Amino acid sequence: MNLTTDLETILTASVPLTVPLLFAGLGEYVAQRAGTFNLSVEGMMLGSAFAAAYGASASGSPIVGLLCGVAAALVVAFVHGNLSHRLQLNTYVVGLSLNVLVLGVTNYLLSTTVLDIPAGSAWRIPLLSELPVVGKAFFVQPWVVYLLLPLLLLIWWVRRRRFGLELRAAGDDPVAGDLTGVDVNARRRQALLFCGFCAGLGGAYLSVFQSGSFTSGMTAGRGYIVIAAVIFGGWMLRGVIGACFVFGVAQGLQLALPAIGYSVSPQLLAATPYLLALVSLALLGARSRRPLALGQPFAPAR
Amino acid sequence: MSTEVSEPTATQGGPPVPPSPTGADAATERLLGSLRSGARPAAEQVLAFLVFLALGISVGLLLGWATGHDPGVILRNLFEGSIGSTISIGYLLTAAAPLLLVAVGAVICMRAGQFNIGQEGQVTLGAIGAGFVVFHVDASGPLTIVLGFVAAALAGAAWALLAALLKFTRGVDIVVSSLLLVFLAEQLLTGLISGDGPLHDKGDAGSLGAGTASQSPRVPEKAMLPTIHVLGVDVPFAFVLALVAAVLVAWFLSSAHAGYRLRILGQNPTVAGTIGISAPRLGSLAVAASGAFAGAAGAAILMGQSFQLNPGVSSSIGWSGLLIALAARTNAGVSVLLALVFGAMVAGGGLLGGDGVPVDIVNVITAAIVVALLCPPVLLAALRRRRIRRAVEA
Repeated sequence: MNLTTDLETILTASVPLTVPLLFAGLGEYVAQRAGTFNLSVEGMMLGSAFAAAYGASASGSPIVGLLCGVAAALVVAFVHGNLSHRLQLNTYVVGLSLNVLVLGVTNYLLSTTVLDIPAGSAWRIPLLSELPVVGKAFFVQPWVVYLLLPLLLLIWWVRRRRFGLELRAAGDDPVAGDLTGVDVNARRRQALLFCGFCAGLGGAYLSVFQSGSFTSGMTAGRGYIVIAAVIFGGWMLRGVIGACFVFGVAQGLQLALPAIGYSVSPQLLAATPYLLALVSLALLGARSRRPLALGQPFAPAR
Repeated sequence: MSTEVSEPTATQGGPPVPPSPTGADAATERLLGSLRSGARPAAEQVLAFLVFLALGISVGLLLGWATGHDPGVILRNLFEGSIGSTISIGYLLTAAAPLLLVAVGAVICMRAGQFNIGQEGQVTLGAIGAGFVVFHVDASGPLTIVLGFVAAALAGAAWALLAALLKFTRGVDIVVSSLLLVFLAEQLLTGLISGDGPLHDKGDAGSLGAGTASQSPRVPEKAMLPTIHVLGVDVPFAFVLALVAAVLVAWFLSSAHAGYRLRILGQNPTVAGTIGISAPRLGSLAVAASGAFAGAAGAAILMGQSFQLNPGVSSSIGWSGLLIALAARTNAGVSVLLALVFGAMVAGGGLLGGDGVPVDIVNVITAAIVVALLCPPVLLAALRRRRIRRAVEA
């Protein structure tokens, strides 16, 4: 046992667990900055994981599966957006009930279908994959994983553009945004749809590309971990990415530590994301960069 | 938003109104007025409620039909399994009891304007608290049951109070903290019932998976909740308790002085501050009360339903109870009705398997009902707007 191989073991166990968190985390970050405390991200991921598994199984093509998964997550996002930002229903309630609804629908459909998901292959990035420690973990992955890079660049680029600023206005000061001619509720719906797109990629990765199967309730609270990641990351892009990695490693350690000869209570590791998010909230308190209108409905005065 | 119809309506013919006060007093007057004028056309609301309830059920039946199951068969099974016989009514009430307890608690804190959504975790803590009593305290049957409920309520209240403390001392959003606490509770439970945990089944109880699986021993017979025989139905003790709680809370919120203060805090914290209501104290109390009710639901599950702690012991009853309270628009009376509907779904679902229909369809139907029941106020508001427009044009 030496440090290099131990690190490599931990990283190779952690990265596949980090990827779905990162996908959904980027989406949740955008949704929360635009003012929606999006609880339905769990449902988006779960719906996508099932639809992707079904699509890939029916067509024999992982790409079709991915598209089905994204479409399913977009449906959840569309319903959520319209119920909470068009009809002005309580967004927490809508999010929670959509999660329950998706869980029920996927469980029901799972019991009426037989899935046979085609196995995908990993892409080996030349040169980079030869690097010690990080090579195998980061650069030998299914192709979907590399979509994270353009997605990240897109968010980073849009942040300072007009559209990005309008999204942030919708989350921080909807009244001022409305006065300057921004359709706040439309921006919030668009941010939710983007969140659906990202969570859809994460869900599809989970079922089709990572595990090659779909099991009942397979997201197992990942959506809520993502929400914790956005909080722990202080509503900042780099913070959210960092938090996703920390939480991914916490999950990975549950698998990797026994393999390299340590024993830590798995419950403690599983509780880490939520504990860290709570502690950081308690320490930062009101100083955290929470979008000021997060979770509050906005009714334009017309 | 208050929708009860029990509010006094005789405001028009009352004594002459004193000259309108200014400043904070005016705001107080306005608020009290809005609290009193809660009565709206009741028939319209009941109709909208029924229409959307039917809509929610139809969505589930439609899904069943689309996947090749006869909606008639599903509906008949749901009906027979829930109210078809006295035994199934007993099942219905058993399933409804913890749901109602959670919903009643949620009503209290929502009315006080505290958005605690961590009931699932508080139910889990309640089950843990009851577990410690049931497995470690040697007492007579009735005493064990009482102590179990007390421990469960205390554990649930403490867990909820954590979120309230974070809000009032550190300004942390209660939605966020109570949600995070749900998942901490889950891990706490798993830790306690696995390996060397104090609630782990060591293997001398002779139950399935004893010693290896993450589970507690079975609840001893003396601590199992009794049933009360009424009109041929075995009414579970937990349901009686929940019903009493619902009635008490409905009375408390509509009539009691403290309940009135609670609602003022919920409707306008600024006014509450000016008339001397301490938001941290009253708000924390309301959140703790909701946690206590959720905890009691945990005890009801452990001692009346599951008889064993396992990782999924709360089985989403915290979420469902919360959704009932919300779909009932934080009205304790309507919560009773909805808890019975949800209980009927759970009980009726039991028969579906026999006809080859996956039981999970009841979860689809219940979730669809919740989503549908959120819509009536939107529809009624739209109707009201149209009526006002017509009146203005005429």
